[in-house]
Amino acid sequence: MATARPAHYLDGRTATRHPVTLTVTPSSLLIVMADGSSRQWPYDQIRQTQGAYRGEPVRLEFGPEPCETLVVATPAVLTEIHAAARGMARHLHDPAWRQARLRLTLGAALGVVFMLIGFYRWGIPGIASVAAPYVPVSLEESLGRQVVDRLAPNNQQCRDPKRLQKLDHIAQTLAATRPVAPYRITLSVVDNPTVNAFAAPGGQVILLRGLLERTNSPEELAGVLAHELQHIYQRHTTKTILEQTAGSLLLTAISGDLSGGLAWGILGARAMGTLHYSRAHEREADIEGLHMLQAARLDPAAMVAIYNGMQQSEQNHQAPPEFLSTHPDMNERLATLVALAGPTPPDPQPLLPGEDWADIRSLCRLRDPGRSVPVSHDLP
Amino acid sequence: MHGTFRGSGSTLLGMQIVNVCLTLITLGVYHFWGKAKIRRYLFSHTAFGSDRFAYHGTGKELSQGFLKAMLVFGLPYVSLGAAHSVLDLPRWVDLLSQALAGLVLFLYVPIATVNARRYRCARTSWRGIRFSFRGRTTEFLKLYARGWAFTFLTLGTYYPYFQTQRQAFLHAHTYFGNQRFGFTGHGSGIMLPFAVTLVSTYVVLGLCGLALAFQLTNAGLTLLLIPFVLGPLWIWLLGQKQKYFWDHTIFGEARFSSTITWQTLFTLYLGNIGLLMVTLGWAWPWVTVRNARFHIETLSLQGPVDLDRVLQDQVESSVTGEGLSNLLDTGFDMDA
Repeated sequence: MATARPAHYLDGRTATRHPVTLTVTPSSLLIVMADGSSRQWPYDQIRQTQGAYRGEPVRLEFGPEPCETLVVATPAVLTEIHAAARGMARHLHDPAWRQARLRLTLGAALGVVFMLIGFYRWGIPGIASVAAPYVPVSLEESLGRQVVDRLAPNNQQCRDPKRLQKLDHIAQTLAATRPVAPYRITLSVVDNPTVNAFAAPGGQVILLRGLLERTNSPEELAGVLAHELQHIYQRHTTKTILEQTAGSLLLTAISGDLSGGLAWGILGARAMGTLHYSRAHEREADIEGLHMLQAARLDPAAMVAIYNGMQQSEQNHQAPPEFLSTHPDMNERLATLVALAGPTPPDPQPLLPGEDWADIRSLCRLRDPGRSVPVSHDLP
Repeated sequence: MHGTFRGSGSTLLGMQIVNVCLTLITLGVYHFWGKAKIRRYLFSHTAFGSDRFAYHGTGKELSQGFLKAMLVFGLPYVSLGAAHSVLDLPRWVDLLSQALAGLVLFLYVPIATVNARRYRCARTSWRGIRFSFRGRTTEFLKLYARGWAFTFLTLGTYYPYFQTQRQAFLHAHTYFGNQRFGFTGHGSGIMLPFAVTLVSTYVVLGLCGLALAFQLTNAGLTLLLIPFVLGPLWIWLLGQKQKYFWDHTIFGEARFSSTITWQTLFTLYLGNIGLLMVTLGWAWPWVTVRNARFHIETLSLQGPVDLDRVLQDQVESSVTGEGLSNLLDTGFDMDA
């Protein structure tokens, strides 16, 4: 037997609340007003806007805007409607479904975890790899010029043409192994004591004096340059920008509308993601750089030698744990290179035969002969 | 008549988990529908007197608003701001494009504030009667430009007047049905707390600077101490401001009253920061509930309110404002 329930009715024209009595019938909701008049709302024309969650009154709306509204304190009315007219009330919330909500939410949480792992491991790098070839080279060159203007301003570049030409010969020997690549490789040497080198997108390599003076042979410099050139050929800067964009979009999707509250966690996740992808790019540059040396018929042992030197200087200093670093662990990098280098090739091509490397690498000292090589822990 | 909030942090967390799952599956498209669902929940658990609010916005409207806002503001801003990264521009063109990007951003904030308020008011009801906001965007733009210009020229002294004028504009152009809200405040009302906060801030920063200059303490410790000293001070100002704004808002014969004190506001913020730090941000649903409960339950309406005189008087609103607000998260400032 149908139960009469108290509710209140809002006519949509005034803010006055009207106490009413509701009765569930097989085809409609019967509303009896305090003055005895009544109205009927067929279930298929009722909209429910509140009452799907615990603690909410059930709010049912009817008619065009400004609509009429019924507010019922208990969700039992919904249970009764579903029992009386299941076919006509499918669009209304069924309180029996609340039992399944916890299981569905846990399932969704599990789904989120799996999707995040998938996006992080494969999705974001995959998107970057697919999209990077479509970024015009001219755009990379423009970006590269800005990087060079900032990191290698004209007044800090070492410009001895003879020695620069010899260094350029090393870079061009390596670049010749990629004849179809769309980049014109150029080399700049900066009068800076830090042991480091950078690859700007679009084909420009910036070599700092500290690193150049650390090398013992042209082959060792070729090892460093091969690594840097691979950053250019593999479009690592472009991929990093794309990865950061995709990562930001993903994190925005997770944080939704309440990013303020999640800001700390989000910033941490973004930074960790950036470091992870940076290490992956460094590993790729190492491996492909070594393959480039082999393709140029140069002895990869020189690349191993300069990495070895850097590992030894790293041992004297406290390095951050790998997950907080932009570069992979040096021991791991060396082990990979040694394994890939294999035995010494039978006929390695000598670079700059008959040239005095100690003289070439000192091209910046022509400006300031008294400068010494400082100890630096930066790695190329 | 008092405000109450009965939402639950655990339910909110469950809703957000489902939203994230569906957002990832739909590559972001569901975000707007999830947002509308969360708002509907928050409004449904907010009551004034014994009646709940209702949110009538939809995900479709939010997505359309976002797309329009991207076209109107997002695209010009990004294009102008990033032009120098893509093109080799002469220095003066680069500077001009950066200045224009700044202008777009400057205009965005007031336009988004007004239009987001217009949209959200139009999609909010209480006792079946919709709210509306009828302030003109151009008027607010003038107020905003004048406010910042005078604030700049008076070295910040004008700022409390500007804030009060801003609030007066937003409150006094808001309607519930055919009944208008009013604002009786004046800039001088928050002048004293503002001056105390500003002078104290300058003194603290000056002392820290001196301590660093004379190497009386180490830089790290000094910088760490600044938020601990200035944080409570600015929270005190915020409390004073919020209380002043609400205490001077009227509806018919009745006047709103806020019981916010700096101690309760400070406890709220301290608790929120603690929760977020311990959980690396995942306690946000409980923080949302704490904030909503605090702001709503410190509010009451004192005096006679004749609700029978309130009649429905709907005004159409564009969804673009809502999208504009989303772009930089200007936020809904009914509780400011």
